[in-house]
Amino acid sequence: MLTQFGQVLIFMIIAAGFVAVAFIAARLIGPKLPSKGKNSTYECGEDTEGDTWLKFNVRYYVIALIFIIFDVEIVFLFPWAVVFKEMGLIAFIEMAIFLIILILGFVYAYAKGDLHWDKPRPVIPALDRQIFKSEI
Amino acid sequence: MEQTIISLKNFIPECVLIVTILVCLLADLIVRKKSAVVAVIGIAGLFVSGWFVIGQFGVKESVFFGMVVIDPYSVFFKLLFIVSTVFIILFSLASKEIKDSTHTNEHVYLMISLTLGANLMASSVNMLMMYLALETVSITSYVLAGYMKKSKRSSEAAMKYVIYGAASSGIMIYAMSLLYGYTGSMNIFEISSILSKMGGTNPMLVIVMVMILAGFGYKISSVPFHFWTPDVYEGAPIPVTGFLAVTSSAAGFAVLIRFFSVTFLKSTTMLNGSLQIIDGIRWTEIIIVLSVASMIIGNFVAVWQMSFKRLLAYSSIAQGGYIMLGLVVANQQGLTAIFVYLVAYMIMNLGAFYALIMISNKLNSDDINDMKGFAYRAPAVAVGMGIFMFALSGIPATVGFVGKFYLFSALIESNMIWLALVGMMNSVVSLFFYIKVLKYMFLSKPDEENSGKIYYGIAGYVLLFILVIPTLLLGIYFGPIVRFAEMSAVMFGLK
Amino acid sequence: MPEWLIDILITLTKIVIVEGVILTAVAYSVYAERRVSAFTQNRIGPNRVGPAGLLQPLVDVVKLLMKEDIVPAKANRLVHALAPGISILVALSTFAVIPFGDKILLAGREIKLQIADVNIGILYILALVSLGVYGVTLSGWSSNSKYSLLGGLRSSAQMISYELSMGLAVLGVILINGSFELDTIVQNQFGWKWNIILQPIGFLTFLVSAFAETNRTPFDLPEAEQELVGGYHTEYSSMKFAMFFLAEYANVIVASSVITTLYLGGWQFPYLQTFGLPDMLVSILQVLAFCGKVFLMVLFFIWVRWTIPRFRYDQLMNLGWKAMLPLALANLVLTAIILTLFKT
Repeated sequence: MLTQFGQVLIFMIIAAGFVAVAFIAARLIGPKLPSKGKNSTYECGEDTEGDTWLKFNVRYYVIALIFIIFDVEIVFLFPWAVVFKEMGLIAFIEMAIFLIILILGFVYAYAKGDLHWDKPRPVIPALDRQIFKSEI
Repeated sequence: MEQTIISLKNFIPECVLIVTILVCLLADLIVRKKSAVVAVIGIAGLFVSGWFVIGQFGVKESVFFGMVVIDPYSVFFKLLFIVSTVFIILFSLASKEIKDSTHTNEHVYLMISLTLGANLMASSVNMLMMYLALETVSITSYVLAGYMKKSKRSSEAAMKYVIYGAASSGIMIYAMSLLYGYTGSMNIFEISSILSKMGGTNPMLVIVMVMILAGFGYKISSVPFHFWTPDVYEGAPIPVTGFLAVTSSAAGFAVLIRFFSVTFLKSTTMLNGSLQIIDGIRWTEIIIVLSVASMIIGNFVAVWQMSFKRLLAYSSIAQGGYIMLGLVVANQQGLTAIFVYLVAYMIMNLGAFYALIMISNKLNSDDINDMKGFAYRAPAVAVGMGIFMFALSGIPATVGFVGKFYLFSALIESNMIWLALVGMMNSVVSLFFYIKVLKYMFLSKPDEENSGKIYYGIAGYVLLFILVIPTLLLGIYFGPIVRFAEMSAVMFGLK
Repeated sequence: MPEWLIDILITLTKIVIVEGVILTAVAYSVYAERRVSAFTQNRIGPNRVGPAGLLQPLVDVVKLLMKEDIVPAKANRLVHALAPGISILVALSTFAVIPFGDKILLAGREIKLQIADVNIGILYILALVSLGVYGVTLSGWSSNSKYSLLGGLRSSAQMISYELSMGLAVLGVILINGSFELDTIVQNQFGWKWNIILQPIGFLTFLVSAFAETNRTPFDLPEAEQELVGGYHTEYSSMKFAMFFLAEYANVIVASSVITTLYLGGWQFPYLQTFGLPDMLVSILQVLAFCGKVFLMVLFFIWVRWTIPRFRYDQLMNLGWKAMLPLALANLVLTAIILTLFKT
């Protein structure tokens, strides 16, 4: 008798088999004519400039941190949700305390602007002289 | 379920602290600007919590399935933490650095969270709980060290602190996992009884001990793990520095003492008072090395410091060395001496940091050179500072002397006379740099351009006075603290 | 034949059929997308290969097979090849726990129309959904191209942001059913007791989050053509590109089936049992009901894509954190309160 997760595993193995077959078929059928230009990094026809791994906005880190906190909180909520109907009022009170703290943290992050993503303000390049103005 | 509710009854002080943190957070969101209201709420919460802690005096109970115990030992430390936090919050109201920072009132509830962590550190008897409590304290202190976001030094201090703290706590939890694997228990009492049955001949136990010391030693900034101390003390705002020096390191001592004197002592001897070290695990020798190294390096390096904060950093490293001497004795008398010393240490260190806040608020500097002739400009503050400096070096008739006296007499009674001598010699060295500060303040004339008188508000003087009184009074009339220490030197399960 | 062999054979047959159906469905949802978009824009769309262009997907697959697989010189070859595999694998595996019908009686044997009835079905789905971010992020990182990196970065931030509201929205359903099992949840939605009626706010947040998780318009920032060329799959070609393409549509189908299962009654067909039809027919009709609901949801996905313009990135993040998350939390609290007050 297969366990339920055994069936999931077989499902995944077959799916992986499909992916592998597709990749191998593409490798066998497709042409292989690499050239320098073809293998260069795509940047709309220009040569790439500088390092690829550029610095990005620190907000991504902040979002990741807040995500971790809330994700862990949600993990705590799952077992509660399952037994909620059986446990009744006590479960409700316990989780109310938990949720109040959670929501307080959320409100705090909101009020301190940590959830806010700034609207982009594109700088339109201003020319110090008009191109078509005659300079004669 | 039932046990949890019973446990909660003994957990009221901590619950009060948690509620205080939340209320402060909410209040901060409502007032949305720097205001004393949040600090007042915080202090009120601390008082309520302290009142419940006093109610726990004499209770000996294990709560939350043997995670945490309530015993006189933990009650003593909790009171110590709460009192020092109240003072530090008051200091932060006075501090210019905190006032100028971009944050509003976060420091209040961050400090209370640190107190909560410290309380748990003092009362946990489970390695996992110890680690979690230690991390609560550590993470909060990282944030506090980097409190002045705009100051490069402060951010640097926070960064160094984080990296150092992460490394050492990683080492410590690894050692704890090894110990758990060896004994199969997380509870330190159980570990102790298992170890005394098995004997301590396994060389791995020595490695485990050293690795665990790396974690605790970093918290108390004992010597091989002290490198963060000067930089963090220098970068962090002064109230936070004081907080780290007093509460955070006292919490480190609380957990270190409990861990070592429970885990590595024969459990059979715990009840009849004649404590014996488990054969083969000679942890007292490691502690002796650390303690002597801390005293010598702390005191001698402090001599060259011209930054007052760095000087106090090395001074607290040295003070940590003295406190560890009491642990070496590994008996009741040693523990009492540690407690007396900790009370003294708290009072005089708080005083020194407060005097420093008053000075640097006006001078915008903590360089000793800038304090030339300060006694002519603000005599009251300079005299206060003088008293705290004398106390720190252990001059008789101050509270610092009482602490050192009890420590050294405990050593001598256990026939460790040479250790007592090392300690005394170090005290003489320390006298040099403590007096150096006073030399600059009292014996040099102030520079021409800034020699005007400096005045403080009445509240500033009152707070200084409140700290000066016990420093002097308890130096002469030290009966109460000694009795308090003797009563507190009882751990749950340990007589 | 021994019992265990029959068991495995049945499972294998189910799996092969389901995977075959999904892959075909994925290929045809590409076709559907092209036809619907053409219809929306008053064009004709693919109509040359086969009747009404129905063979177009097959030809596309063959074409992609014949293309050269270009790996940029600077790329990390292993991760570059791994990323599309992860994407498609995760998208397909989610289907292993979705019930597409009730039981069916075949040769005296009761066969469950669900591959694996794991007792933590919802957690399994949420776990795989959060794994899905790896395919995109790794492809963005390993290509060593700025467009890919930015695409990968955006999508990881976007997916984690909406994952929270997704998890919170599902909690409402779990509260009502007291179970993680998808089969139980569907069984409880008999008649018209669909969760969309009991959980309208939860449904809304889940739907929006599902759009964001599948990187579909209006949340297709990771592959915004105008600024990022192809986003995370800029540097992919041939079968690897096809895998990303298939993964996107597989995700749409999976999201539709999850929404159907959790909120639209799964395979339930209201009042079907009252007609007195033979059991076999009932089972087949239920499977067809499930397929029909999923098909409508997929059409909805496509419809939205060709109707609504793309969000700006700050709008996307602010919507996720400042609107969806509080809404999902409010839904959770509200559900808990109502359940406590009106205990049945």
